[in-house]
Amino acid sequence: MTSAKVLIVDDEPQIRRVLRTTLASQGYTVVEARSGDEALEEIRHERPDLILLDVNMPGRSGLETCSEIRATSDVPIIMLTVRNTERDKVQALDAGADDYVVKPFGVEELMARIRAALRRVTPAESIPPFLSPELKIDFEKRTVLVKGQPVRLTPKEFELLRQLVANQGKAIAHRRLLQAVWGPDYGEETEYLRVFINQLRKKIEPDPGNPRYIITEPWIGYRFERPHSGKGADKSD
Amino acid sequence: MRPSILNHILRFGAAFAIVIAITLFYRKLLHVNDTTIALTFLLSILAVSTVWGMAVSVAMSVAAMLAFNFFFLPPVGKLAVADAQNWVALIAFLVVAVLASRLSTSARQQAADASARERDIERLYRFSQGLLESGNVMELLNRIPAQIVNVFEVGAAALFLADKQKVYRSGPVTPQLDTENLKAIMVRAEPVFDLPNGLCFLPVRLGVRTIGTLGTSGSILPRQTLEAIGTLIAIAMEHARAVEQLGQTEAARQGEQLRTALLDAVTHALRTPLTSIKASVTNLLSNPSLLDGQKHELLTIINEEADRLNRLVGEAGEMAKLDAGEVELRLEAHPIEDVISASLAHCHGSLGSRVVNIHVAPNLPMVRVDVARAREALVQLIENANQYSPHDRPITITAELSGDFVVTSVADRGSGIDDPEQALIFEKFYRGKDQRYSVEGTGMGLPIAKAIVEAHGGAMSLTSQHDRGSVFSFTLPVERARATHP
Repeated sequence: MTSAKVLIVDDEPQIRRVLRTTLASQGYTVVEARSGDEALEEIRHERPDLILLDVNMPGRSGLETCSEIRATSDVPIIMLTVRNTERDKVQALDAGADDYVVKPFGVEELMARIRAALRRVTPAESIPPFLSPELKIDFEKRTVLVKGQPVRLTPKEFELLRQLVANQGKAIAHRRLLQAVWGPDYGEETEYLRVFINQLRKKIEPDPGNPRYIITEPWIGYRFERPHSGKGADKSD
Repeated sequence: MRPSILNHILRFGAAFAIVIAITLFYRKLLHVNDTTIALTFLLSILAVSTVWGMAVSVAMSVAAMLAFNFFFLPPVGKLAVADAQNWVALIAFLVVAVLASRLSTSARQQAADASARERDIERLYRFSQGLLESGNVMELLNRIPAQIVNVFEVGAAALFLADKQKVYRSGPVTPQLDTENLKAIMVRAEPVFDLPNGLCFLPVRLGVRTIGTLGTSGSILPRQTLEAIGTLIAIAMEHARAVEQLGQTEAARQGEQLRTALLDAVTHALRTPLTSIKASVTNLLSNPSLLDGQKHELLTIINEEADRLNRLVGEAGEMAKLDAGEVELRLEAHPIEDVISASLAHCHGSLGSRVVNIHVAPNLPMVRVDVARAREALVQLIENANQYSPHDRPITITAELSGDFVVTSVADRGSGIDDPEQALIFEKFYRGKDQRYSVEGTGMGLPIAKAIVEAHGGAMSLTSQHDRGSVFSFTLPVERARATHP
């Protein structure tokens, strides 16, 4: 049993009721918000460990709320969406969500996703920092410097980067990356990787459209590469 | 227009009086030579012929000649017919009389023609203005005959249309303007004027195609005017048809949008209770450690959400029927109190101890209403007021007369509705890109209530002030026919 605090954000009272009862029966502490604005308020006061966020709300939408939360907090966010289309999923992940669940969902699936999202808190084995003239990553202090400027990564982005750097020079398969970062229940959700790799590239690559650190291995997965020093010193950007 | 017989006699009398006056004047008062006298006669004939026309002036010429011959030409006191001077005078008098009267008559005729044409053009203009005001073909067709009667001051007008095989009429019943006659003219395809009976018939052409016949009775219209009327009718009908078609295309497009929105909304609306049910059931199935209280809570949710699904499906079906105009109303004359009391009886349970004030204006006429349907609409408004205003504040229901309608209003003293929401609240299944407006329950209550009122020929509206509360009103048409023939 866990005692993590979960914030439920949904405008539908009945859904909040079900989630409250379900999470309480699993030992979670539950806080509720009826709208995006209420959610932002609750986050300040209650400091939840995880947020379940409905995409479809009147007023400030779930996606807007998600971006807003991400501006100040790394708290894991699972989006509750109604539509099961690629575009909606990507939108949710793009807004900064760690994961999403499509309504209607079974409780086991939701619980598995909640556990996976909370899992990252357990510290992984330490790896030495990555140091190059332009990019410095310190896994102990969880800091990333690009050309000397600190860059903010979400926990999932950081975890993904750690996996890639730990296997420097080797291609890692989609499934392995997904399971390492999200958890053993994952493996097919390649769109997660697409979105998160994109975001990572935007943050650390000098030219995200022409990546030098995070290389795509077609049909296989991704590979982290230390660029040649000549190119690495290129400061044209 | 024409001078009466008495008028005629007076004019002849006056002409002869002038001749006598001139004769007396030159005989008794002033003695001048013959030429001056003849010129005086000539001038007076010229004047008379200009003003009173040929007949009077010719008669006057003869009289003047006789007077001139008898009283002034030697031998004075005797008619000397043989004298050539005589004939010259007579011919001069007659020529002046005829020419001057001709000229003045034609000038007068031209002036009259010009003013008649001006009047016709002005009438045609008014007629065309009247026709362009019609928005649709049906209204236009019913309007044309009345416009013709009003504008052109004919007794009756009838318009037969080939494609509808129907005659549109205005003015008193005229047997000659019957359908058979009108059809026959259409086949002949040329205007027919029946002067003795005061009838005009004109085939109405659009391009080279004859599309119908116009018949008028009471007064004969000039052929040109009649043909201009025909052209205007044809143009107006084409115009109205084009406008109507444009509207239909627009309506079809909106219908398509509405169906998409409906599907979207229904999908969303159904998925919410399904989510609650699915989550509750999977929890009950998979979690053996649930406490009794938690199990009960989950089962309650399942029960409530199943009811909600049922209500949703029912309302979606009803909305679809109302949209398609498939709901048949049993319209009867009822006092509005019937609707109000039925609604209150229905809301009795949910209102509880809430104070409800009712103000029905005295002597309200009956409304034409399907009480069961109207009750649904009013119940929706009462339930809304009940849900969205604090329980200790009263709800006020008023009914009063406004023109041909009885207006029923439900006022609450809740927090009111914001302007942007006011505009959207009646929209069927309104949902923005990232937001949706959902009335507690199913989100279809108000659109359904509005559709019911509109099916009655009424309208629903909302006025709301922030922190003052909201007033939802709807109108129902007053029962006219039954009120006069009970």
